[in-house]
Amino acid sequence: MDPRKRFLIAGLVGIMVFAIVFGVAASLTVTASSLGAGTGTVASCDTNGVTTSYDTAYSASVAGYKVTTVHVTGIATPGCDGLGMKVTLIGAADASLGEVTATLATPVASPTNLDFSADNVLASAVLKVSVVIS
Amino acid sequence: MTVLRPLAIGAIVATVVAGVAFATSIPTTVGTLGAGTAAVNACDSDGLTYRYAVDTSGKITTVTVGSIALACAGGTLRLTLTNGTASVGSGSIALPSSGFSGSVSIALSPAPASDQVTAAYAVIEGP
Repeated sequence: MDPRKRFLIAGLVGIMVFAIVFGVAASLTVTASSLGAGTGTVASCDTNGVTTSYDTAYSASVAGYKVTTVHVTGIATPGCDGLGMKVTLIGAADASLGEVTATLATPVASPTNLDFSADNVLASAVLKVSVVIS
Repeated sequence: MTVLRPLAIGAIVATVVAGVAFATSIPTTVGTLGAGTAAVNACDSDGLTYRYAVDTSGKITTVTVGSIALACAGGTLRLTLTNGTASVGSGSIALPSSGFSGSVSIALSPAPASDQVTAAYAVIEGP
């Protein structure tokens, strides 16, 4: 064979091998497991806030007035109908003194009353109240 | 090479596009959530005064509670007299929303013997 042809064929074979390796390497570069992600808006069912008030009763066991009932008013209806509500009474150092959960009625009752009698929360110890509706 | 390179690049692009498609293809359903915390402030911060009316039999019939902050107008004052921690007499009264003077008299039921009362506990609910 003509030495020039032999050289040309060798060169073409070399180029083809390089191209194939390059192509294989490129197609295997990314092996990714599936990943699902999404973002949604966390909306509140009540946009203008709620109001709490309290009933108390003297309790010998706590030697003072304890919170017996927390009344929550101003809950949006029908937006919050049927949702769960959690009320937490908070004391010093942001410690939870008592927590009661309830399912809101449809339509939401006003007031919605939560019984804290069993929690024996001293009224004078309550510094904050937290309400979550979800 | 000139033929395979576009294919290789196409494969890379296709893989990246597929990856993006995976990442954005899952719909997100978010429930409602509302939360808040507020301070529970006392309407009176400097304490109350107590004056006891005792009848001829030595029983406390009424207690006049004074030095109530005007901010408490419209609330409800509850009073319990105790012997130790045991209640021996109690009463409550609604504080007027208007014209409140900062002092109210509360009738007790039952009327406890004055020598049996060791402590007084008061609370104001609201306003």
